[in-house]
Amino acid sequence: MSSKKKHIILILVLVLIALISFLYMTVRNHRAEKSRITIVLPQNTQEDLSSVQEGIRDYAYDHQIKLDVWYKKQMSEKSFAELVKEEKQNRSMGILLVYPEFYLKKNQNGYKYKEVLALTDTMKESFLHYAAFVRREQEEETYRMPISETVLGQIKSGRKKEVYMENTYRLGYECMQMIEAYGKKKKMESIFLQPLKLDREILEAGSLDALLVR
Amino acid sequence: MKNKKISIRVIFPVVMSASIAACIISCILLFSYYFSTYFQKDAIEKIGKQRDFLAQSLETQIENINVLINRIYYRNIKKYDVDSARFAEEMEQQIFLEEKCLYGLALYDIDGESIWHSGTFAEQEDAKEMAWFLQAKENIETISYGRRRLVLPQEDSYVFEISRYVEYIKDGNMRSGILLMEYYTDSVDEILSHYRNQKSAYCYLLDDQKNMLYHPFDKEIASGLYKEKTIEAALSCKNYRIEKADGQQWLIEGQQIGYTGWNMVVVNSMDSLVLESHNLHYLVWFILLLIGVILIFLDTLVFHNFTNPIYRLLRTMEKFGKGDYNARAQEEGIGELKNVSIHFNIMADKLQEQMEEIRRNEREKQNMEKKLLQSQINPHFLYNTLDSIIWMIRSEEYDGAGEMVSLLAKFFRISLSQGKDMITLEKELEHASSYLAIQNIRFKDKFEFHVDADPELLKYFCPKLSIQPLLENAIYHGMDGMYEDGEIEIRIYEKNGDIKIDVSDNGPGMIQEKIDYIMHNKVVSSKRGSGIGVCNVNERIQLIYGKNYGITISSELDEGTVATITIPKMEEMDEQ
Repeated sequence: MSSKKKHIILILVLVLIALISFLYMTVRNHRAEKSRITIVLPQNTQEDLSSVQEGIRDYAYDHQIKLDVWYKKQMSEKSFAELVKEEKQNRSMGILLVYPEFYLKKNQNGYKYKEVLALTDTMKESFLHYAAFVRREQEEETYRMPISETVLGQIKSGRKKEVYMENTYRLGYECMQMIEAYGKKKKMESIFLQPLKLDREILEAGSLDALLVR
Repeated sequence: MKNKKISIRVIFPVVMSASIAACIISCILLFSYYFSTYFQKDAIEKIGKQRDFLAQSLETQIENINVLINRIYYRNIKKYDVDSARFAEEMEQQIFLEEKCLYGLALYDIDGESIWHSGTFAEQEDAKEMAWFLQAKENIETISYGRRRLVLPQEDSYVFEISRYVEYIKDGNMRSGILLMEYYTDSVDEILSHYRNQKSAYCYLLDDQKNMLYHPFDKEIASGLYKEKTIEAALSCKNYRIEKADGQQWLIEGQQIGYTGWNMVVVNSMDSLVLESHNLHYLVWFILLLIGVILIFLDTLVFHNFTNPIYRLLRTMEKFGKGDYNARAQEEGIGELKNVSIHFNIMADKLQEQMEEIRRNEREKQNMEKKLLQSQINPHFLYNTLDSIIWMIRSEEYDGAGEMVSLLAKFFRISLSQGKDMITLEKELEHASSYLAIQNIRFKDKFEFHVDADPELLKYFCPKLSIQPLLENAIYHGMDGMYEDGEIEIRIYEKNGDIKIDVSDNGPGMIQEKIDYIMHNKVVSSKRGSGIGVCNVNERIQLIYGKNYGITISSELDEGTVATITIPKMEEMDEQ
């Protein structure tokens, strides 16, 4: 190989290293902006979504994910399809439907979107992937976060021996985790979460105090 | 191909480029190493300062709490009887005044029986079994800081259980008891929440039993989504510690908070700490790499500028060596390189000039040899001499005719000399004598001639027919107008190690212009002579012996002329 060619190759290699370093630096600074997840929340609902939202928000904050949040009162099948298409174009990693039963009608055939995860109580069969709590036999003993002071008082006073708490914070958090994993590995699964046991001893220990506040 | 492999033109730029690349990479590595260390130290110092600031703020807050509990003790409990209305009034007043930070107050006797408590206080069963009670009972001189407890879930309100040993007045008697103060955690939480609470940088607070008093990710911890892995490391380190967890390096800095036994821990991801320096790293790398590219480019450029003139000069020299004597180097390059080209061109010019001269001398020599050959059988001389012999026979001068024939025979024998160009001085002198004798007979004793030769020198060689042109010059110019009184002398002697041959006449002499004309122009004395001019003889001698030898002519008007041949002493000589 001639001296001239060797020089050209050497210079090209150095220029390439410089460019890669420069691009890496630029890309690294903007990498966070590329992660985006779409959240659809019900509008004007009586359901307390603060814990779910907090779980979603904390995960997004910890993992530098940008959230596209939509509040929907009603959403037709068509507009849902458009939303999925639009968010795909926006390079969203996936869509989380929070309690779609409040704004989306049930579909006989179901909504066959791989990138959609529904956090739901009653529309599990409408989606390929969903997140829900495992139902206990004694449903009257299961409460959703935040638990009222009355119930807590009953546990403390011994009038209730134990209750089960649906940790919606964790459910929201894990839904985000699943969608991010789908964005990276293209693998989505349904999430089933066991309610947490809450008795006097646990309350006295204070280990779940953070979940009992509003 | 082999030469190309070891060519400096290939090796030097490659070695230089490789050296530059190695230097740049070394600079990058050294820079990265030293700056990473510097940034790490700097980050540790900064985090240390932040930790100290947080600890200082917490200690100030603890100081306020201490002041408050002491004030309640000394101004109320120790002052008023616990059964008096004034006591309850003062205590309620205190709670009212400090309602933003005080949730409840309770006074227990030393057996754990409740003596008094505020309205908001939820009475605890088996108080004497509680940690806050036991701690205060055991450490009567200090204030005990107990656990954190959720009191108002709807308002997200927690309290610290702070207790101290007290002496209270009941029925006029001093008794021992424990004061419990439920103090809102908000002021402490607020101090700690000022620290960046991200997964890469956060702080938390532990009590002396390693129970969590504050953690920014308490919900995640309670949900089992996060586990604090730095507790053991934080409690075991004196100042700071770097631990590896979850594939990352973590800087853990712990600080004990005075009076309380609490430990505040500041946790920072080393990656995020040095992240700010990454941009500087990349920028410096980019600049260094750019410098590397420019240096290699300049190296190549300068080296090419340096070597190209040399290689062009080399090609010119090759062409010159192959016989293209008109090839000249381009006078280019930097400094001395240009001088090399200039001096090569000067050398080539001189060489070409000398070669031209050699060629010219060669041509001259060939010309001379041709003339010599012609002179050996000069028909004019022969005809004239034979004519003289005929006239002598007709005049019945048989002896003279015989002598002339004899002289002519000797003359031609030496002229021919078997084709040799160099003959001994003895023969040359014999030849000159024969010639003079023949001419003397022909010119009827118009002149006399003498020969005076050092016999020791006669064995040396000299160019053939070198004296005859001088004799012709003496006869045809020196004897012109002379009548029986002309004299020609040939003298051979040694001077300064060389042989001198003087041919002198007593003729009218010559002016300097004429001498110069004879010496520099190829003129012959007479058409009847040898046809060789003095100038030819001079050139021939110089051609054979060099420029130090040759002919010199000195003349004085009305006195005569002396032509001197100077040759070295040579006994034998190669004909060529």
